[in-house]
Amino acid sequence: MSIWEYANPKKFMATTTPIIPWVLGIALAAMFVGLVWGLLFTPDAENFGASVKILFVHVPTALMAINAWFMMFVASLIWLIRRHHVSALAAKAAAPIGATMTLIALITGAIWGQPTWGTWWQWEPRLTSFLILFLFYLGYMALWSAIEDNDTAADLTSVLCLVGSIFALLSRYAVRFWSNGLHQDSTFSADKETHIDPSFWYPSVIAMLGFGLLFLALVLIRTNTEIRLRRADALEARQRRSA
Amino acid sequence: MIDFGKHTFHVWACYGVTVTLVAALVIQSLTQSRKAKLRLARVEAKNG
Repeated sequence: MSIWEYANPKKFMATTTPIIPWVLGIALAAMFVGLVWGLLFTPDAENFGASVKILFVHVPTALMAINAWFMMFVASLIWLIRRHHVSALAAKAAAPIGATMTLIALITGAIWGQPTWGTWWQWEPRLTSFLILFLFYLGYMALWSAIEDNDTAADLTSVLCLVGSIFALLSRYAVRFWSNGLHQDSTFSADKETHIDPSFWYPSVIAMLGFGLLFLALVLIRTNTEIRLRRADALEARQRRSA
Repeated sequence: MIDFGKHTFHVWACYGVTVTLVAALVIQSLTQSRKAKLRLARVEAKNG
């Protein structure tokens, strides 16, 4: 069995439809546990006081904002190289989710910044690259809406996605590239010990797992929606031709 | 409402924004999905 079998829309829908309710249910349960745990059952941090509880929503959404664009980048590459329609539709489906996650990260980051750094906003590398990433999301969605021909829209949005990946990468590593910003480096890292106490680590990981699964569930739901709409459009066009 | 001292507004505002936007996204995704299913079923029925 090859992964490319799922490029067939019927196979993709037949495989994903039964698992969507499970993924969505587990995602919402994990988010509920992670966020309630983080909000109500974690101590105040020494440096930040109770404002540390904001990080249980800010970190997972910021992570998903970047990961969503990375997923769109991979799907766009598959479209450009192999011309599988499902991958283009999956990228299109992921954009509103990524945009929402970026917006939440920007808002919660601003609210976190006010008591922590004494300012709602500063034009420093990570904040600015995140704002540019949000504008890329808006531009990507606008471009899909503006072009009538589906294949042309997929081509142009894929190119835009590849260009925007530079800013997604900058959003992720801005703190390391330029060390003159307000933002601290990553709290979690795969290649070194975590920086945080276990009482914060467990709810953070559960919340991140929840947001990750929510992204997966919503991408599958929205991709299936796009496939159905595309099929309905094709059938209606056929009806008009035969009438 | 639980009091988080001088950060009460900041904490509740963040959780409020997050829950509102995530709920809106989930509801909008499910509503669009339902509409697309109905539309496709209608068009397929017309096509026989």
